[in-house]
Amino acid sequence: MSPMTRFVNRLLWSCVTLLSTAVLTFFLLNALPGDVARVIAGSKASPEVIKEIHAKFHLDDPWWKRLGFYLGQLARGDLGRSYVTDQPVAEAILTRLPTTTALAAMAGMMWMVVAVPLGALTARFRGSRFDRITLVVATLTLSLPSFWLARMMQYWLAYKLGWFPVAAFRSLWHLVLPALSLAILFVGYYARLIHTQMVEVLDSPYIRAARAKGCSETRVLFKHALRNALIPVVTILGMDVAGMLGGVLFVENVFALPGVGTLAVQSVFNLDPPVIMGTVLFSGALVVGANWAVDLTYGWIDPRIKHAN
Amino acid sequence: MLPLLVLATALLSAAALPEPANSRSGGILRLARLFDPATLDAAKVELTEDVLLVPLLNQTLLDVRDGTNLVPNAASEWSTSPDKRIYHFRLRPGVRFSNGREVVAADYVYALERMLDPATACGMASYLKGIRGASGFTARLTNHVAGLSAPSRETLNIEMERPDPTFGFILTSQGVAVPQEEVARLGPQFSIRPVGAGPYLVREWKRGVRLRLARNPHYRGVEPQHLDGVDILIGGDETTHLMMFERGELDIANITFAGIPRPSFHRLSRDRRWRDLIESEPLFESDFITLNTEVPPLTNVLVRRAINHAINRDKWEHVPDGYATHGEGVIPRIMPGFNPALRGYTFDPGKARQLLSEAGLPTPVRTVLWHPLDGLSRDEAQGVQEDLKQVGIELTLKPVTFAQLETAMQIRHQVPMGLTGWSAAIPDPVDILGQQFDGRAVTNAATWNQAFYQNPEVDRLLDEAAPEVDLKRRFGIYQRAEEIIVRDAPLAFLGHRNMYGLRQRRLKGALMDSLWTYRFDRVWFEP
Amino acid sequence: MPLLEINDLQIDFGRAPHALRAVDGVSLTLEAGKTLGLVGESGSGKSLTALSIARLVATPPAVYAGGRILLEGRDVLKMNAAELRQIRGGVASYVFQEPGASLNPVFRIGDQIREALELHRPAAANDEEVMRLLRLVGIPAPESRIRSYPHELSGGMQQRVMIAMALAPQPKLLVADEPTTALDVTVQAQIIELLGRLQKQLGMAILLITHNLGIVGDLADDVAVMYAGQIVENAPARELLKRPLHPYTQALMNSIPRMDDPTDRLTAISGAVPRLGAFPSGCRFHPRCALAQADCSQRVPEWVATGPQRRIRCPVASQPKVRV
Repeated sequence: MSPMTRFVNRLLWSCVTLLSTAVLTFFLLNALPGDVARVIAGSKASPEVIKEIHAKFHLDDPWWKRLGFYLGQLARGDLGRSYVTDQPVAEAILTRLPTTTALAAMAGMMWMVVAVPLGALTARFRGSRFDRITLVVATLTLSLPSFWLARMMQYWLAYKLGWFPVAAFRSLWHLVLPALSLAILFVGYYARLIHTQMVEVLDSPYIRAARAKGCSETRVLFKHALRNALIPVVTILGMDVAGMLGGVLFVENVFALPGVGTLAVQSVFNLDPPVIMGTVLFSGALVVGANWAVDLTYGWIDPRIKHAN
Repeated sequence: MLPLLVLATALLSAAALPEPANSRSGGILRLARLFDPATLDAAKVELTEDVLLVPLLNQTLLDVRDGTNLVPNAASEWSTSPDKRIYHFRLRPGVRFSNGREVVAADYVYALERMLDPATACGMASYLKGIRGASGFTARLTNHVAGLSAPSRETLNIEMERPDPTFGFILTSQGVAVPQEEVARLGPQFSIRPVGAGPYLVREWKRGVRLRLARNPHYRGVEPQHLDGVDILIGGDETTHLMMFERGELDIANITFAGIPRPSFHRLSRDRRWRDLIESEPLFESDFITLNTEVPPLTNVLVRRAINHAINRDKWEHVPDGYATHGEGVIPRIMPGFNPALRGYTFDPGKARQLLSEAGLPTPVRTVLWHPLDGLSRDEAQGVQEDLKQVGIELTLKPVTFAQLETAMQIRHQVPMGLTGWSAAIPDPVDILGQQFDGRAVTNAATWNQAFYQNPEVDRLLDEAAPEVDLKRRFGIYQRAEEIIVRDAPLAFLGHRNMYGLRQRRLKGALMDSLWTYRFDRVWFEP
Repeated sequence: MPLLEINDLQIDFGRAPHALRAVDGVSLTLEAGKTLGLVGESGSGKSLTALSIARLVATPPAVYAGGRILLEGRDVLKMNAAELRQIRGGVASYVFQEPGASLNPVFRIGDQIREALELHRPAAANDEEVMRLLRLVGIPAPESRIRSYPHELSGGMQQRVMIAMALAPQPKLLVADEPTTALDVTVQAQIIELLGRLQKQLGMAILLITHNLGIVGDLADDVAVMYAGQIVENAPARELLKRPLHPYTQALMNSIPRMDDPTDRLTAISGAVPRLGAFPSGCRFHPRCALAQADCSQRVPEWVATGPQRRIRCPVASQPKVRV
């Protein structure tokens, strides 16, 4: 398959994924009880105002008409406006995006900084007590439910010990504990992943050849082996974006951070369909985008893969 | 007695009110709430939590102290005609909007007309319908409300259709001036960046994130500006907020109607750090279950009385713990007009069963109770369900959001039983009885008479009481009406809530208020 | 002093009493500038021996149970990590069997060669020297090749790169472990020819490990034949090929297909190389030996000199009457 064909193929499938997400969410929202018009107008609104809103937002149209209208709007790149705040949904998401990105990036750095050396060293000293203890701790941490962990961290480290602020985003320091909560969930998994990859790589002939050149063990481990072992890890990291979304949602809500996660939760409590749709589509786009990015960077980070130049 | 007191206070207005010690000490008041305000426009505000912001952004004509004392505010003096039909206000000079313009009497006329204008969809507009010409204006038959006039820049006259001794209280929340030119300029943005004459103005509102208020540089008012600003975090949950408070990241533990979260209450009341800071305030409030008199089996008064006898209301209202005060009827103890001699329904399951068998309905009697989702409501609903089961009533519980409950209950033949309550806007029975039990409000339109209760005798008494100026006679009529209502049992009477508040030690001032719950404009930081 | 001297090397796997001896008393000598061929089938222990020179064998699971490996007079088995790093590449360099797998796939070949320079000749760690080395091993257009990745090169080119990398630190000894086994026959010849040329040019010693007697003749001065962890025959290369004495060596020679031989059947040595721990008693080759006698299974054969610089470990074959 030529690169062009592959690209078009990918693009089509991405569109199908996003479209299905939009349609599915639309139907789920339709099943929600409550009159959306009252959400917009307020419960005291007169019947005339309610009628006006029904007309303005096409709430009385048959479902396929409303779906068509919404999809048409999407095609024009318009995510609509919040029924509750009248703010454009895209704007709402974009203003929240920096917080979520900062949180995810900080968490990612935290766990990689720990997972990489841990994975490398437990591979080097395979079978040692250090390796076995790491395995147990890793399995433990990756089994923890994200909501519980975030709450526990908040309770013990912020509330009881006062080492961190309890909630809100007033400074970068406020992101540290939330990022830590998120990082703990992933560090175990990635430490073991890197361990497995390193063990495989360390058995390779080029590692022996590197030693034969006179490379120190440190250089062998952290330059020759790691560079190879991390290739699949980077791709898994990209695809893990989807897995991270859930954790990010919980962490943001527990720590009252103004990110996309809290926007999503608030929109559900507010019964605000455009924002609900917007955040769901955003997550979908994020996952699709991450998979694309993984595909593209894979060709770049592994010289053995020949990609469209 | 009340009007005399009011008049005396009005005359005393010229004398300086006692200045709180160390006012203008500054500092930012840090609060937290779960959701964004629905609106900051005083004309559109409905939710209790949003109402709390009104005194920060606006300066009302009159204010209430200690729950029942009307005092001048933006009006430096006021008086009424002897028959309590005409209200006359003299405006305090030098009061300005946050845009710098001086407030004039015409601004009040504009604001009140705006509230009555159906296009504004003001939820509290019904409280203004007593003004002469209001109904005609609302029906768009006239361009102005005849009863509102501004003879000069600093005089405002409000003429009621009928005598109304309580209208002054309405003006403590709705007597707010609004600059017409700003409403025209901002349009719907006025809900987000309102322009008022209050001590603070909106500095920034990041939806779902944070609401920040800063000092209004043009403010002139009775209550000094104690703070530099207010910072309201939006989001999180009750647990997080409480943890933030205990760690000193918030200045008041909880600003919702619920007060301090109950699960933490015992711990906090034993904690040396906090226990002497916990304060309690009874509210002008009534908890009850609406019994829809138009939906069988609740059409039968014996069933309704049986329900009242079956519920151990002191238990589910947590009266022994102090969360509520025992209630026999509708009017709470602290409200003027409360009848200490009123006897309602005792907790008597045996009597309940007897009444049910008298009603002659096939057992088990089945019906549905709608209730809000939150834990406290759920627990209470489940308690009621247990109690009713004991007497042969099978109750299905239907948890819904608060918004859904409110909407549904106003629709005819929709909700059989609804766990709800009423917060009085006025410390007088006219609100708590008049809005809910007037049979003429039962039409197919949305109504506050959520039991769809119709008793012409009650209607007659309500009509008679409302304009009654003599307080003794007035309250006597209301009490008679209440007795009939209690006998007819369109509600399962539960009790009257008390509120518990908790603040940081260095926050001083009269924070809590029976009518407003919290008044943030009255607090300051100890330097 | 010989450049390399291995005395009675013993390598075990596992711990006593269950230890399996994979290299049993191997001794050999290599003078500077000379080439020694170490010949044997897979499983003979030749690679283990060769790798031990720079102590590249993983311990565990291997255990050095005895012997010395003297490189320039210093015992490798007693060296610390810093000393080992110095001799690896600095004194002894390696060329491995699968050049593609022995080059790090994510680094450019120029960088990999430069790394060898950085480790031992930092002053020369620049592109010019890398290109000189590439030219030395016969790689055309080194300016562009320097930026290639290993997978972009053919097998023969990869091996040349490996050789360049091995020669970069100017080692005294080049250990070539089956350098041509994974390559095409034509390329094999090129590589062997290259090694020979380089040796003449640079004067390093070469230890050539192979199972292929054919390439030994082109390159080696002397040959040691290994079987089941032991050396069974030493001889100068030409003589060994002309007249192999040990039955194993003879069988190896016979199994090489000859162009002038009209038969269409390959001669294989009957039986299989014994597994570790399952060595036959006495002479380890006796079950497969055409000349096996009764007491071959009883006595471990001693060394017998059969000529100047020649000796075998077989009492039977060293008798004059069994000369071919």
